[in-house]
Amino acid sequence: MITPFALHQPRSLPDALALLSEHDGETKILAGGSELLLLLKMGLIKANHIIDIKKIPRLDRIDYDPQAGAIHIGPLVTHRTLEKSELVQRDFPLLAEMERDLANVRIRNVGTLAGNLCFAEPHADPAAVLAVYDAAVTLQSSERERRVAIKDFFMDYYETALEKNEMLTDIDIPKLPDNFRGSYLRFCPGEWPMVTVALLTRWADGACAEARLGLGCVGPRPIRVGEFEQALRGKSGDELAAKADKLAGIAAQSSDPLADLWGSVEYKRQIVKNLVRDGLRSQCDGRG
Amino acid sequence: MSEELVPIRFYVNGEQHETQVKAHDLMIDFLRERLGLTGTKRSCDMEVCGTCTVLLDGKAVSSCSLFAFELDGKNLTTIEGLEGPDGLHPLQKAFIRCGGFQCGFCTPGMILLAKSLLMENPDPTREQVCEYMDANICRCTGYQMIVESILHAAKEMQAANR
Repeated sequence: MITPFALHQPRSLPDALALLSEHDGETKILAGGSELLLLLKMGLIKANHIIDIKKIPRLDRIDYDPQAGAIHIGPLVTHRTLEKSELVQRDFPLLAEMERDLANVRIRNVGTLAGNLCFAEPHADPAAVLAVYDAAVTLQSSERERRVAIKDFFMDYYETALEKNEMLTDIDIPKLPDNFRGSYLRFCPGEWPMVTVALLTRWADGACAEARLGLGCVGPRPIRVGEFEQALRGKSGDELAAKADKLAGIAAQSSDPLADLWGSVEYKRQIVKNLVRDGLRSQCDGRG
Repeated sequence: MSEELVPIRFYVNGEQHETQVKAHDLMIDFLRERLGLTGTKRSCDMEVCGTCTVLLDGKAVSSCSLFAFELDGKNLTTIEGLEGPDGLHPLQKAFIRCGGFQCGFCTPGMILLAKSLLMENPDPTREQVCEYMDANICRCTGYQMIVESILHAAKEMQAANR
């Protein structure tokens, strides 16, 4: 049972931000609500005021900025819209793949990418992919606007860099050159993923010129594995395929999972290792 | 905190409604208790199982985790709205013919989810049906027959449209 609250349905972003400042604390923003309603119903959070932003125009837009070479995703853009977007499928294939796998179609129809990020649920899909794309979010209040890299947005389990009077108003993701190969792998024995892995590699003259590895659900925030990324550089596909198991071990050691209903720390590290190894091998083969 | 009333205007199964709901009312409770549309079931209450599936502007959603006020301006279809002037919907007929249910508790959600699938993709492959329908859970585990029912309905609906 959700306890009563005052409902606000502003028609503009400045109005929404003014309401946030006015009622700071115990105030929640409602976009899709697929995270918010679960927590409200379980009594894990309480809201005296709810600001429904769905009546604000243009927050449901996906825009491409050719100058910056980046896509901008508004706070009302649903997972399903991203999954189906031709722009996303063409230029951000790993993002589209992740969105196809996320939860179920009912949740994807309603839930927004921005809302997903704001709850910092550790067993969620988007973080690892956004980390390898070097995505950033814009946080706005009536007083200021700031852009925060995705790795700095997540502070801890269920905690983000959002101040009480701030709203996430934009997600920007830079487009990668065409010659990147990508893999998104997840192990999901139930509804929420246990481990997610996003791997991007760029190849030149038969060797790996650049690698990006992101791990999700195995720490309070997504992890970029710098040591792994360095180790791949300059190596040939054959060399990397032969060493895939050892390299994947680096990733497993960099993960920092909690033991929970999904499994023990050791089990989750083994899953990280298996997924990274499989992803790496598929890209060395020229697939992926 | 006083219980704030929100005016809403919407269509359910083609019929217009204009009323007031409490801001914190859930859509599923409003449908079941105020409108008497008890075909919509509650089970997991966390957007996982799909027994509370309804179609909001044609899209499958979980009515357990939406507010009633979010109906404002929308067109809602529940299982009660599927039957047409010619009787049961082809999906309902196919579920009967192919044995697509046992206890029947998941059936309204399964049929509505299948309807949203066939609206998006009128001629799905078996694999596409399985992928889409993995959103909803049948605890009698009659999945094979549910898939058969949907493939059968798709064929019937395509034939009828020809």
